Amino acid sequence: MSIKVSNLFYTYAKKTPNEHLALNDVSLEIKQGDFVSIVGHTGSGKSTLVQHLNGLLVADSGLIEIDDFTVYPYKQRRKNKKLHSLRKHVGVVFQFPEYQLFEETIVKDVAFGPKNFKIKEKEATEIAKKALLSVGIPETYFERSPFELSGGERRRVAIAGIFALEPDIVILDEPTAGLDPKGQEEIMNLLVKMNQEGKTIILVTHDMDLVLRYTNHVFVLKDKELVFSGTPIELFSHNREDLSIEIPPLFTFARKLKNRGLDINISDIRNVDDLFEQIQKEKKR
Amino acid sequence: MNSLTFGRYTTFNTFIHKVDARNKILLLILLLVAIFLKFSVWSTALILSGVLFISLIILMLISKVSFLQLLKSLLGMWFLILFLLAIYIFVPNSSYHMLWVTWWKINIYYDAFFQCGYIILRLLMMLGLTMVLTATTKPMDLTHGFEWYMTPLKVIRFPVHEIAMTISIALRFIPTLLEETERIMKAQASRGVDYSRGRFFKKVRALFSLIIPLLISSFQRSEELADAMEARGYNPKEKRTSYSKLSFTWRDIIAFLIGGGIFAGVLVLFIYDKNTANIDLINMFFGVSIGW
Repeated sequence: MSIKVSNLFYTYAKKTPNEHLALNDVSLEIKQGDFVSIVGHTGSGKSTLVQHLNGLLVADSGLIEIDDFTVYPYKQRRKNKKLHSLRKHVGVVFQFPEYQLFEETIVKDVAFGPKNFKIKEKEATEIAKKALLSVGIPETYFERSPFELSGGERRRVAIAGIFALEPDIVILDEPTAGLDPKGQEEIMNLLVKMNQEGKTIILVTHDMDLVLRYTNHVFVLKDKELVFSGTPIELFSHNREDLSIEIPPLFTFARKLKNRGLDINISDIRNVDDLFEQIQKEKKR
Repeated sequence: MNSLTFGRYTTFNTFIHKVDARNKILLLILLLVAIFLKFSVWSTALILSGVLFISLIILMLISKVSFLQLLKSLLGMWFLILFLLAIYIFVPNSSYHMLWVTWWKINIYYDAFFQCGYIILRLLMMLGLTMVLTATTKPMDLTHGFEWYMTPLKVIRFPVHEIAMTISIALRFIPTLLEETERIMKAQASRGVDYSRGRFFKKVRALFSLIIPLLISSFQRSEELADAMEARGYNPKEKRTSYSKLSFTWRDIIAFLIGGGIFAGVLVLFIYDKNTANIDLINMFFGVSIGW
């Protein structure tokens, strides 16, 4: 399940006074089973890029190849026949997905996705229940209305709605925005679990702590262009001012420790526990 | 999405954009009256319509409103056009006198086509003028303009300010709701909804998945907005100052003289036409009479 994007260009509101470029010659490759993140400032083109990956937006020029699917640019759009099945293959969880809920009960809502892909009612309900349990929604909630739930619970239900499609690639646009730390942790653990099951996860985020902690590859978009591609450690150690990336305090702290003579391996430090372990090991020596 | 942008405010900086909203509203009404005044002699009506139409084209050129879009809107009116044509053809009125053909005792007159074309032309002009107003005036200024015209109604306790506020909030939220619609459509499309294809029942279901979230989020928004307004001390009974002041400048005098001039000219001809004699402009200027 690899993704290959080559020379993507996209312009919003073409031929109107509001016309503006949103993606400028973006090329990237994502391998199967990767946990990657896409970072960049608001308006850098992250969300636009992501919407190309399941064919919601069609590029002005450039190709997107996802396994045996190819999304052609606008001029050759007649060739884009399998976009519908591509959407089962690549699930996109939008920003604030809790606003897309509409059914009477949460089970029905989650089953809505699979049913759109011609899965029988009964089977879809089964899948929905499984997806809900996997995001940590207990069975007692299943028959409730989505509008009775709290914000965090609704977010999880919405995410389950995408998981129920059983996609091979899951793209999440700011899934942790506006959640409390516990809710954030729960969602991220869920993603880790899915990643371990072999799914490719693409995380769009502002939160560099998440990038450092969970992802093994990071793409940086700036002013509609791809300006960096590499591991989070590479990104943070290069300390490139021009990317205007905020380096996680943990990383800075670890590097300062190392500079002061503590012999730790920075590239192994993903979270506070890692750092703690390394320091302890060093102390014992 | 293209049809939605039709007549929407565009941020150019033309002469028309700078004219005061109140002035534009007044001129729109005057010119609409001028367009729909009826003249008894055909040639006169045609010439006046022609003059008005050319003025409209010039107006649209100045204000950078696409004339092509106006013509395209004709396509959307095809049913109306056919319907009107059928009525004019099959319900002849006594003034028809140019016979074209007779089919099974039905007389088809050239007049029917003229009349229909004339109506469509006037509708088109009405649409064009309104488009110029909405495309060159910020919605907020527009409501301020309407509010200004309605102020006298305050005497009879008509809630002018409240209505103006409601309208301006509604206008303000149109783009927001459009954005929201697009977002929810995309989110549901990611869940496999296909809004364009499928059987009728499926389409209705697909529509539900759009309308319900949209309704709920607009209720939420309005509640939040009401709270935010109250938190900032909004009180409709109080006298408010306005951020954007409407002001009359030399541009307004010029615009008023031109627009009002056209209106006055047409009106004078109309009164003369009604009271004294049927005006035949061609006869007046060229001394010849065309036989219809």
